[in-house]
Amino acid sequence: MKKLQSSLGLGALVLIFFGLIIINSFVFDKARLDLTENQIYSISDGSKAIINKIEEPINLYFFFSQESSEGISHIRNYANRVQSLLEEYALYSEGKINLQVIDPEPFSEDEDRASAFGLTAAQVGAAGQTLYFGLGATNSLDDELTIPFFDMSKEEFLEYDISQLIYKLNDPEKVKVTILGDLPYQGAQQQPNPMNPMMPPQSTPAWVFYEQLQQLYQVTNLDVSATEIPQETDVLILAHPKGLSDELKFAIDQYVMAGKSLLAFVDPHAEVAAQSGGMGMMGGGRNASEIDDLLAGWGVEFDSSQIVLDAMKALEIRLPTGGQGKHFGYIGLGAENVDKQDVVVSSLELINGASFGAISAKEDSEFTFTPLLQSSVHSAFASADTYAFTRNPQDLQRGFASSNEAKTLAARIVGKIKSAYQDETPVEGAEHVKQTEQAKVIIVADSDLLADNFWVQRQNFFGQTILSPFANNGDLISNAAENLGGSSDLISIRARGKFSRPFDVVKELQVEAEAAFRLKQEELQARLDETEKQLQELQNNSGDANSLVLNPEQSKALEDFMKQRIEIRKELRDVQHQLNKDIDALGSWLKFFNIALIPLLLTLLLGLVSRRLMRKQIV
Amino acid sequence: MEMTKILFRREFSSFFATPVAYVFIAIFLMLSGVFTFYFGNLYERGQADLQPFFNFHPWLYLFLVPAMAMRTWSEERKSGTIELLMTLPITPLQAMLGKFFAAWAVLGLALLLTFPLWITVNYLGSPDNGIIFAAYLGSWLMAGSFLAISVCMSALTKSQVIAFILSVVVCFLFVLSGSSMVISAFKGVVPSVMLDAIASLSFISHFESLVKGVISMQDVLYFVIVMAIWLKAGLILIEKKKAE
Repeated sequence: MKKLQSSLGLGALVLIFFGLIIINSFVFDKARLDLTENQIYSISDGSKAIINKIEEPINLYFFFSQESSEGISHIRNYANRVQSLLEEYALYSEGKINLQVIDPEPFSEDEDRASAFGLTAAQVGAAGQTLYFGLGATNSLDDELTIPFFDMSKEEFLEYDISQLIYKLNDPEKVKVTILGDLPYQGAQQQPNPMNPMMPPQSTPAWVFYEQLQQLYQVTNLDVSATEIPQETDVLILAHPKGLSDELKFAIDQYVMAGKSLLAFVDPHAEVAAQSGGMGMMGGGRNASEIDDLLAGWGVEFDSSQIVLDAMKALEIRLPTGGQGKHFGYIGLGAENVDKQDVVVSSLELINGASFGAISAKEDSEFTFTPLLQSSVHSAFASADTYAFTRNPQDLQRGFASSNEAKTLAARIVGKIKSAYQDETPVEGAEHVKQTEQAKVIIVADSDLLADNFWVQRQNFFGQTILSPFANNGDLISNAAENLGGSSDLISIRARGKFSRPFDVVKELQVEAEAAFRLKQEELQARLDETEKQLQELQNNSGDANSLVLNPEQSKALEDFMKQRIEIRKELRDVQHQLNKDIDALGSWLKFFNIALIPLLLTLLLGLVSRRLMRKQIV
Repeated sequence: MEMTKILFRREFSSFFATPVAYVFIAIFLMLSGVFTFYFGNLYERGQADLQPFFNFHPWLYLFLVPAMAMRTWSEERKSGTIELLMTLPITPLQAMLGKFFAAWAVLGLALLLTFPLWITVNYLGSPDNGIIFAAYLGSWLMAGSFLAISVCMSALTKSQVIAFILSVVVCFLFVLSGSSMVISAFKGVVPSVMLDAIASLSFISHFESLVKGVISMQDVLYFVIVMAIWLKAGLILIEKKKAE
């Protein structure tokens, strides 16, 4: 009897188990505590602000194929997550977002609807069933937007993608951007060559950042010879301001004093413009922005005669002498160089630029100065004039001595600014505001980062232009414009982008090792060059005697030089090998500690502690 | 409650009176180090997180937990001390809980002693410690589930070896159940809801979302349910044997 009872008990237990598991997966799928540092799994304030601004109802159609996804648990899990996030949106919107969850079964009306939205139908399983996992959205004006397929590799951007879709559907008025500067960012239709009329005139395309701005905002171009800023401007962008009239400078000053947004790219040496050969810059020489006086008047220190060199963040380029090498003036700023708290830059992972300047706030300034981009501490100043004339980037490394101080390469300035024109104004009788409490300015001390070759590759693919960015420069520009243009809600979500957390200690070791290696390498290289030169001379000398046979001294010398060359080469290889030695050594130590030493010590310690405790108990 | 506490103490110290706990902890620490650094390439991948460490926990537990728990009831039955235990004024539930929590505490201690790894990544970079905390919690909960199954299997038989093998087999099923192999075997035979339930039985899928840094009620409750049900099954088995 008892036996039967217990068998029944076990059977019942199995049923209860499955029942509980099923109930658990349906009832408690929402309660969760997000312990990640940036709360990447919760609906953020930015999304909430966007939802609050919805005026007309928005319909969301979430498509997920239940049957064809059976058994693909990672996709089903992710679909669950997407659905619960969408439900949170709908819940928070209090009826302004209508969410419909649709299972588009094969050959059904729902499937037609999914394909009408243009969702991607993925093929899964051996039978090639179609799997829909996307979002279609409409507003009351019948505008349509979609997320064709929720890509798992973009999980970190899930909330951003959804919020962006809602934001766009809510159709806010386009921000008005005015841009001026001495850079060929608009592209150019070149004049026919008078020397060779047969050559068709070549056109260069507009820079990608400019095209992107045009897609996102209403963009007006201003010539540097203008004297006024258009009235309705929301964001003014200065792209390497040079040759501005005094009237225009005053207009910019008064624009800022009116509490309007300014995004300035100022540069001690704009290499791109210099390369393009505009304004007679063919011979090299420095090409600096010319609003130092304006910035100084506002209380911002920007010395256009100095540029920042950075040993840790230097980019690898092809050297004029052949081979690859670091160019200390070409800087690739990583995630650790950006202000994680500021929405404009916090999600950026790589910003490439060249010949950055440094900015800082003057001591008596009253505004809030927030560095957005900073160099590494392994950086130093160099004269911009010398830099502009330096042909071989390795020359920059030779004189390099780190100042052990990070330099601010871009900053946000908010609050109280005094006008640069306190007494006289270039325009007589004009309205003159002498200070503002609400300045909104972002200054970036480089303009080269705007150029395509620093961040994006443009390819022609059967007549279609395909852009593949390799750095986040474009995001920096559009984030800044968007933020200054007023819609910071969306950007605050972007701040929760994916984050890489590299080993800082290892990177530091790498820089130190490279610094040490560089000296040794140069010394050895010089010796090698010298030896090879002597060898060459010796061989040449032996040649003019019209004899193929060397005398004994000559052959001895030749042999010695050969030996020397082999030795130096070996030494050079050794030094290269040493480069990674410290890093490998640290790794080996950590492995030894974590796998052998510490486990043994901890176990021993445990033994001692428990022995002592037991003895105490016995006593 | 008081009785459970006393039993817990007795069991816990008995782990340390014999080499069981030391051997277990030493092996656990060393193996997790080896897995983390050599199979997970923690150092070479250059990312300050403990993902490679936690990824191997299900597989570590799969063998270590049954080995630690196999003697829980089998030995009592083999040596006959179970009769003695049952004559004491203790209910089987109290005995079960005492033994379970003692072993779970040892597992927790072993996990805590992996703190040098945590120090290592914090020295090398700046990891998201919230995620690491959630992952530790998830790992401990999962260890408890492995333990509950092993304790139940130990109540089933007198032989420690059989208890060990049975535990490994059952635990392996729970680890695997979310995988496509198992699912495709059931596909078409059982309804979709049932299939979801089978898929959600997997330890790994619940553990993985905890390792991501989100403590969801669903995942925590899942492990709690697994522990409660298997301990209850163990109790039924003990009562049954007692009746025999």
